[in-house]
Amino acid sequence: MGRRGRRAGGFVSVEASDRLHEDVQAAIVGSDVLTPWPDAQFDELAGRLVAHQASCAPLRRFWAGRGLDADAVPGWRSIPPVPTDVWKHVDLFAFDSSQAVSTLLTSGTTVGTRGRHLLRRTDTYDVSLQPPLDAFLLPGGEPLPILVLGAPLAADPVSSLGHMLQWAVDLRGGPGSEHLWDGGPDLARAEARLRGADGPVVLLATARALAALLDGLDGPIALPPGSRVMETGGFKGGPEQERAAFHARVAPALGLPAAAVVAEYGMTELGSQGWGPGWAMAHDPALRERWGVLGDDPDRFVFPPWCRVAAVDPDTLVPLPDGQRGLLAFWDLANIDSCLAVQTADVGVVTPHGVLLEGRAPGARPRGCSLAVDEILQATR
Amino acid sequence: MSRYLPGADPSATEPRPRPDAWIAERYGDESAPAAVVPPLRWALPICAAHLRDRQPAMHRLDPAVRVAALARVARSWMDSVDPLRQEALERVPAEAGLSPESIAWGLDRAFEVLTADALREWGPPPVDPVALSGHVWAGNVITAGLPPVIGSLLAGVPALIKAPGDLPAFAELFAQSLAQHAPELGDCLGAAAWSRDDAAATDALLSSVDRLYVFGNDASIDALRQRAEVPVAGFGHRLSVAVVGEDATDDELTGLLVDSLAWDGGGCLTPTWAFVLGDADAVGRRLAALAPSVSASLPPVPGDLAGGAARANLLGVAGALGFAASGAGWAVVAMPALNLVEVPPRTVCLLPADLPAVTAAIESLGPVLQGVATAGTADLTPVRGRLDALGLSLVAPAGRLQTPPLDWNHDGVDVLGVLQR
Repeated sequence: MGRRGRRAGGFVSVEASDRLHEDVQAAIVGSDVLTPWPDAQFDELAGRLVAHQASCAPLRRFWAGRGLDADAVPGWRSIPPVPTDVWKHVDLFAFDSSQAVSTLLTSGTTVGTRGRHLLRRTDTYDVSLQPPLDAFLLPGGEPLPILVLGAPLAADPVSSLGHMLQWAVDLRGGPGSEHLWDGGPDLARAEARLRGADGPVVLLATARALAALLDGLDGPIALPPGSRVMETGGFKGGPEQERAAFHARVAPALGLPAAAVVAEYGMTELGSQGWGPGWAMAHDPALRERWGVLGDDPDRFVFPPWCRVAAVDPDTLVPLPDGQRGLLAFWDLANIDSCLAVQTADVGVVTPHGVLLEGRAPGARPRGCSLAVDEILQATR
Repeated sequence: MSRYLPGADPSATEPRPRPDAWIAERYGDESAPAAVVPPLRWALPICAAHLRDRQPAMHRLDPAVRVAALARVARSWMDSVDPLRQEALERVPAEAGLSPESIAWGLDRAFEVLTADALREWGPPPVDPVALSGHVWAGNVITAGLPPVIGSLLAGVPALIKAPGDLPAFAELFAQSLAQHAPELGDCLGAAAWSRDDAAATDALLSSVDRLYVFGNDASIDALRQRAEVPVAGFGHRLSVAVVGEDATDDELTGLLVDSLAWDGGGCLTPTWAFVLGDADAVGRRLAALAPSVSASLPPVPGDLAGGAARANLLGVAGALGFAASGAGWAVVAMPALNLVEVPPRTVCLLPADLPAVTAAIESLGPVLQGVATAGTADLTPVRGRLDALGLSLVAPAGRLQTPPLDWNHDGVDVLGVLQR
């Protein structure tokens, strides 16, 4: 299926979009990242975003088909989330594409088509990523050397993860911060930097790059106390590996306590990210008191208050009450000019203490005797 | 242990020849306990030899006796209080990942066509049939492999079924039902389930039978064809479609929903796409109004996360570009153009088309097309012309696509003819 554009015209004014950016940014900056927003505050902004985003014809059509009146949104749970696959086939943004200042592409590793998330402004994205990153990964505020086992943004400008990591290096990195990249993860240099560290460092990496680093290590490393590792991305398309088991491998290999391996959950379609709270809890007794009820499960993620999460019933696609297992959907107010409601194929349980992620929806059930489309195309080619 | 192997297992019918070779290997003498169950690589040849011994007597029976016996077995499977059917409805849903209602519907549809009249009218039986047929079943459309087994028994040829390792119950219970409800046929059917990884058991089957009917994907059929030294009749994975006029009646659209939701949309007779001659969105809206009651009668297994995720994705794309509606365990989408998209379980996917486009699509799908459901009064003469040219044997009104006649020969296989020595 080819990409389908929205019909011309119908966009709200740039001024209206700017007002939303400014209002959402003000709400983020004026709030505590660890304290939930009142429903009324969230719903008011969500309703305004829907009215704005419904100027995108496919989005308006999708929402109308699911019974949502874009001009009268009763609450965030009533906004039907758009599945991530749709981004691969349909442009979802409420502005003229000529105004885009950044284009982020999904990985597209499984279906070969890459979805794109166009941003008219990136400052709200940056404002959104900062407080959780500071709270969950850099709670002390000290400018530590940040080592990124990934490409600098200039080498991969369409990567949302690359954008976040570049931001971290540029605005939070202390002396010695750098991308360890040489056309691919520079594992040798990474090992040398880690072995030579004479003070705490922060290593940011995808799980796959981190696994490659561990596979090639010439023995364990003892990172200085206070060091930590951010792991993200899981093992898409690779061998199945439980995050808990992986973290249990990372920590001793780098001489870190378990809490120093911090998981991050993000995707191109979302402006906000979820974070494992272990490191923050280890350094703030109040947070341990608040979130410790779920222990140190590395598959637990906490999202900022401007990004709400619900599990939806796989049979009805209706949001479930907290505590029930389903497909995770996100309502992210940092998505100003695209679509705030995103449905994923990730399975999890939403609790007051964070989201317990189980991973991608399990494989298909027992097959009957029908052909899948790829088999059909192969057979009829 | 879930198998029924007359002649080899203590639980199967008398007499039970002792599996001497296996006993000797295992115990070194003949003092094995009576309840010992031999492994499949030994039990299958023993059972096969036993069934072969019974073939002459079975073949000598008056054909009317075989017809009456098989019809009686079919009736037992449609009897809601029959213990074997009840056991099937307890065991099979979990194995197949389908609801009990879906399994009950499948059993009813499979056995309702198995009448004495249909059996009598099913072509001439082979004059000099082989002694034993083998049957390899696959997938969770549990009744798909029944017709060749019935055909074999009708021809007086005992049969031995290999069921998938994770779907043992129905084959075993069906074999038991023959013993219970058709004793005049004698021991004539064995069944066991094993994984394809158990090469020794598969080899034992292949070397024990005279003919093999195989269901599965083309690669699996080819692999067995290369290993077997006997003729193999293969039934590969296929797909079906529907052609729907915008004037289709509510009954026809209900039938289309039944065809689509049966077997949770995983059968080769499930219409993967419905080509709509006219306003696909309007047909979609009507289907959406009818879908809840059909879905309630053929409910899904709750909590299918993979199916739900796939349905959500297609609903999202269709909802942004065309028409989409969904409810508990069902979805109806109308795509804006004739793109052959992947369709998730329990989803009716409408594609707008005109007759030339439908004809071209059917032409392109020819090698893998199994059946076509029709609804509405549109003149389908050009389409039918292409279907005839493709040799497609099943064109049925919507709602009957999933209930082919007993003597439906497909995949180029003459089920009874295969049995001729």
